[in-house]
Amino acid sequence: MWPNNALIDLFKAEIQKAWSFPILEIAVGLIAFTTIANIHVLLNISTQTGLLASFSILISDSFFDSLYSQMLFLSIFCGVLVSLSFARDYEQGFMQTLLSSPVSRSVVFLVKFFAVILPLTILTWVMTTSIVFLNFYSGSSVMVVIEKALWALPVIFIALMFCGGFAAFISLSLKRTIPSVLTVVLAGFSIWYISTVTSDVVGNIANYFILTPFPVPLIALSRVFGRVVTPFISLGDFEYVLPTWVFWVLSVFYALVFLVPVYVYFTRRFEIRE
Amino acid sequence: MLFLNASSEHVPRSYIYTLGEIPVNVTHVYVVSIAPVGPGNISVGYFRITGNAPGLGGPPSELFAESVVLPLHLLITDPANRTLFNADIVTPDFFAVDFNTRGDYLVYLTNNGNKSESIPIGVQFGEGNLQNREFDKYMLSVTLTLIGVILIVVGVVKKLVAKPVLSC
Amino acid sequence: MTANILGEFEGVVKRFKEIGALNGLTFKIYKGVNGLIGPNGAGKTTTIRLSLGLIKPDTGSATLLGFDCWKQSLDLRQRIGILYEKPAFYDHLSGLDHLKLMAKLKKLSDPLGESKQVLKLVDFDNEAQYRRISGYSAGMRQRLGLAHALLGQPELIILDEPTSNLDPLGRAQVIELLNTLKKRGFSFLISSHILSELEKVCDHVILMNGGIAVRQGMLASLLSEVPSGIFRIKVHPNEPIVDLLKQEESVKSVTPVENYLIVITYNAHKFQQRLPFLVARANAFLEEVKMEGNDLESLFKIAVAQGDKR
Repeated sequence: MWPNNALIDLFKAEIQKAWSFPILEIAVGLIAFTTIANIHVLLNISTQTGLLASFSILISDSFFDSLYSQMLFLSIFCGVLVSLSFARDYEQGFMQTLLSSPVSRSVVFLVKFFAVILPLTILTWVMTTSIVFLNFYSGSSVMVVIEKALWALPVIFIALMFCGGFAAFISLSLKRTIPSVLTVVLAGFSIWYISTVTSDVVGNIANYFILTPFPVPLIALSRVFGRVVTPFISLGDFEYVLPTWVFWVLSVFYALVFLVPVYVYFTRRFEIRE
Repeated sequence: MLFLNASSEHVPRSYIYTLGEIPVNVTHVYVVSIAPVGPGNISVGYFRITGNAPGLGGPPSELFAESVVLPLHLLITDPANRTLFNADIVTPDFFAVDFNTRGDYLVYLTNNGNKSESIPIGVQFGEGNLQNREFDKYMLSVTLTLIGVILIVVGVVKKLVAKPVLSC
Repeated sequence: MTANILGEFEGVVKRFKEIGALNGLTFKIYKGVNGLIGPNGAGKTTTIRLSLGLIKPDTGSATLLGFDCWKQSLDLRQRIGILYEKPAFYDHLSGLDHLKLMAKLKKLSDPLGESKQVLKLVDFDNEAQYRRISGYSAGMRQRLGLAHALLGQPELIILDEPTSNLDPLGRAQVIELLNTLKKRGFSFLISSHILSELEKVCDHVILMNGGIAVRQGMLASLLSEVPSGIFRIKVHPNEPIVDLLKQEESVKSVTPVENYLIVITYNAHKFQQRLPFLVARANAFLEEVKMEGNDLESLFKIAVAQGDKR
């Protein structure tokens, strides 16, 4: 299924459809809105030998804080767009048209799914990296920014895969636009809220909340950045004890836990009944 | 977005960092990496400062500070490697610097005393010059706001221009 | 499968929860124009969706052009065209761009040329093809959908209610176009409940009701079976008169259909003389009486009324 011209054109058409005015403008505005609120001003004092390490911490903090503040909005936005792509197209009869075309169901699913996920990942990554870069540009920091940015890209992608997979699952189950969108928004808020509950409120069980889908990719990123303490997230001993690979495996698991079953269902059993 | 600047992080009025001990007759180099935030002070030898540092404007108030006393040779260069200050001093002291260029300001400290000490380096700003201190954020927010406005306008124009006439 | 048979449904059953959409549907699709007719809820749309692999049959087999409709759906879709009742497109694209995309998906060697050719075929080769589809009228969308269905000279074109969204002039134009395409050798499966239009184009007819094919065959042959002397009467109240009609010697059968009574008579003239007397005896009021003609609509009503299962 190597993409040929036709599939590339189909992908472009889906992207244009999913990101038609004013969706792209709203996304750019809101990402910029959340990023700019987390600008770390360039002010650092260190020894010459410790300069790179010091910058590394600053830039890591800047990436992390920026992504953390964007994550709630991004996950809900991603979920809503995927819901619209599947549920609205089903309701309006466009899914029927696509599935009647000489294109495999696999292609239809992947094109619709990644027409939302890929541009949103790239948009978030480019804007976050640009703002961090603008903030920390100096001769010594460019390579550090690039290195951190390269790690941030897969994390953003994995996090959005979970949101998109969940939204695809909901929208193909409910097959109605408004209930799907509402469910996705509520679920997004709920999952985010759970991760913010501290042990003061619910006791030791809060330690396990860092294993929920919202904080896991961010913790994985913070581990790669060499950070131990993740700001603003409630800490439990759990987070210190678990090795880094656990968070990466969990991130990938969450990315696929809804996506794979929905993909299999769509390609093998999905029916247009209305 | 321009209004967001009010809530996002500001350059602190005072930022002090204590670095390792400098042995006797040894020169250590410290790097102050900073955005173009305008005039301020570099402090040498103050662990903590409250009140207005000298020369930064604002109403005079009692300066309360913890400090270390040590004779040093001090050299300060700007990101273009121009010398801003080069003389023997006794800590603690303040040195006026106009941070008008983004980059690394180097502070060379040579311990002319008879014992090794930790020497804190800091930067301080006055109550005024907020625009300069927030230069990065204003520049960024103006750029992003302009991009956003352009995108919105282009989108609206495309929508209106491309709106087809229904055929009879 | 012989050369003339393009598709075959054999004992196809499809249930949606408790509702039996198809209850052992069996029919053949031949070269030429095949009409799939039936009332709302007969299972026509389910049949079409099943043909395109959008629905999986519970039991039975459905094949088109030698391909299993569910298992080999992708291969099948390369060879057929489809026009839905409410065609959907990439509205942000122009008509021509949308067709080009679809032509590329069909792996046609000259997408632009083929697109322009089918647009010309459906009389859509004016400047409107360069405009965004979001601004098209219903008729233009229907034409574009038909052009899409014709891309790549498909072996079979499936049309689901092709005239339902059109005004009478638009319907007439579509029927005329279908006749033109028929002469060029295109084969169609047309689903519709507007029987008078289908009569003008169809060669073969499949009558559906309640998820089964109640009659099928060549249109001319089926129409020749329609007896004369069929009356459709509306009487209020109709219960008392039903028994009286059944006892009448000129009446062959009486079947209530919706608000009407379909009366098949041996002797139309004698029945017309007796009807006022029967209505008076039943103390009823005769609202409407119509003698049905020798047409598809009559054929369909008979088939439905008799519950014929051949």
